[in-house]
Amino acid sequence: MKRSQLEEDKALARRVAGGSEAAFEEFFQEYFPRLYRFVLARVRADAAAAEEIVQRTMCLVVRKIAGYRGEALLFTWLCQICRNEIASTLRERGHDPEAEVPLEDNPAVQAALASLSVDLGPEQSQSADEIAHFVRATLEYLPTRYACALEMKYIRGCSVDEIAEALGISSKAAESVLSRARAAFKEGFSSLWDFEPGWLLE
Amino acid sequence: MVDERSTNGAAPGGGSPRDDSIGRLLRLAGPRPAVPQHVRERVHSAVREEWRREIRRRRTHRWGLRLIPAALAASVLVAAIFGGRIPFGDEPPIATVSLVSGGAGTLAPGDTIHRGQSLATGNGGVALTFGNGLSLRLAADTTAIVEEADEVTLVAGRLYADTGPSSGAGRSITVHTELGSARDRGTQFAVGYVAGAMTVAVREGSVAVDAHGASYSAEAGAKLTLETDAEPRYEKLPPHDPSWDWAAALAPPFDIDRQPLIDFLQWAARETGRELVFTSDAARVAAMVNRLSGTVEGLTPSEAIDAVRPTIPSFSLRADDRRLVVSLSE
Repeated sequence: MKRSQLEEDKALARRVAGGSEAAFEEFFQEYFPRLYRFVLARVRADAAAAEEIVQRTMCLVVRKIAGYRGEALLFTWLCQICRNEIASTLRERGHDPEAEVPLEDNPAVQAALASLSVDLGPEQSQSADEIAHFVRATLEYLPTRYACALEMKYIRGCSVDEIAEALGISSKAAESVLSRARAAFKEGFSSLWDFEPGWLLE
Repeated sequence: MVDERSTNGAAPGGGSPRDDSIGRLLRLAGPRPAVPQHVRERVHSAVREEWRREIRRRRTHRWGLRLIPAALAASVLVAAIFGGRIPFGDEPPIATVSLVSGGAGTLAPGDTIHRGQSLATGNGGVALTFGNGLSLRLAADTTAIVEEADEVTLVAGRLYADTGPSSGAGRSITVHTELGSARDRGTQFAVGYVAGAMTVAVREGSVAVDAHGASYSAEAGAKLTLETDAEPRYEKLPPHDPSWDWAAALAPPFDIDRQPLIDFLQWAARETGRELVFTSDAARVAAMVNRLSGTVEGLTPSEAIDAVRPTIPSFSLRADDRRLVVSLSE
């Protein structure tokens, strides 16, 4: 899955750099919401600042996207550029960027999120808020259709048929998406936390 | 691609979620914050504008590099910059030259066109046919880059695209100019970019135009003119207006030999901007079963109609400004 996602990311970046309108729309719809939430969590939920930073980041990205080489997932690459914009904006506003860095911006955690396969050291005792935070962070690193399928299934209680309709695919394909989404989420979340996943991720 | 707007913040759907560990985690976290629609739209507009600027900048830069040999070929009637003579690797061609008007040039019918290839016409025109059937015609004094099978950058001059009837097989093309982009919705249309003005003339169907961060639409029979410091201007331009004649003159040859008469009539009607009308069902059926022979190669569509007329004495063909009327001879 990881390799094909990288290949998909490279192909999408090439098409965007080549001037394809359809590719641009695909790129924007996929990454804008994820990036917006990524920023929102880092600017104390300041919506105006988040909008400004995401816009600056994405404008920068569309100028540089021809240089994307697929060495990391496209979202990881976007987040890296975005972190610089966040730090710059926070400094302009007189904040200390270091004080705003969430735990998942720890390099080791970043690597785990990017690879969705790296085991981290022991972090046994986590509050519900922290867990919730990491659940959301993990969701953002999944392809949008995976995250949406999981949210629809487990938070909104939608049926497979309803998920299929929302995703524009068959029910059978929706089941397959859900299955892959569960596996990806489990892998990603487990890599972030060294839980004994007895009660969390059995 | 999923549109998150359909899943954020909506009421829970039916069905009972499986109570497994992932479900517990997700419910603990709750739904991710929704992105306000007005924010999405504002950022989309700004980023898209920036992206289009970047694409134009890169194309202009690429074109500038390609212009150098064009200067050397200025005396040539039709010059393919790099003329298909530079290696394009193993990449397959995406179009073929179907017609060259005005005399011999470096391009000839049958030559292949590759992705990213630039074309510059001198005193004549050139017609390309793409693998999907799209017909693209460049007028005299035109420079364009064939970016993809569905995308062309018009650097200067005029071009005409025929993506097939509006009800056709979904062929489409986007034409970029320095001022904006025109995207057809199954149609025949022409785009010009001369002296800083972009014109989009629609003969059939409709065309969507994005320019100056705004969107416009041009319908059949209309011509839209966009300039940097002026309001968009719409004018009437009937499908049979003489200003379309240059495009008809570059229509790819229609091989009539052993083809049903009705196929020829449909081609001739479209190429001359006329509506094809049969005066009776019997005339339509007869046109379907009657086959032609010979050739109309080298003739314009109007000349071809005149050439075919005497070979089908059982039919009467009457062409006026708007219609090509077909009836059975009495």
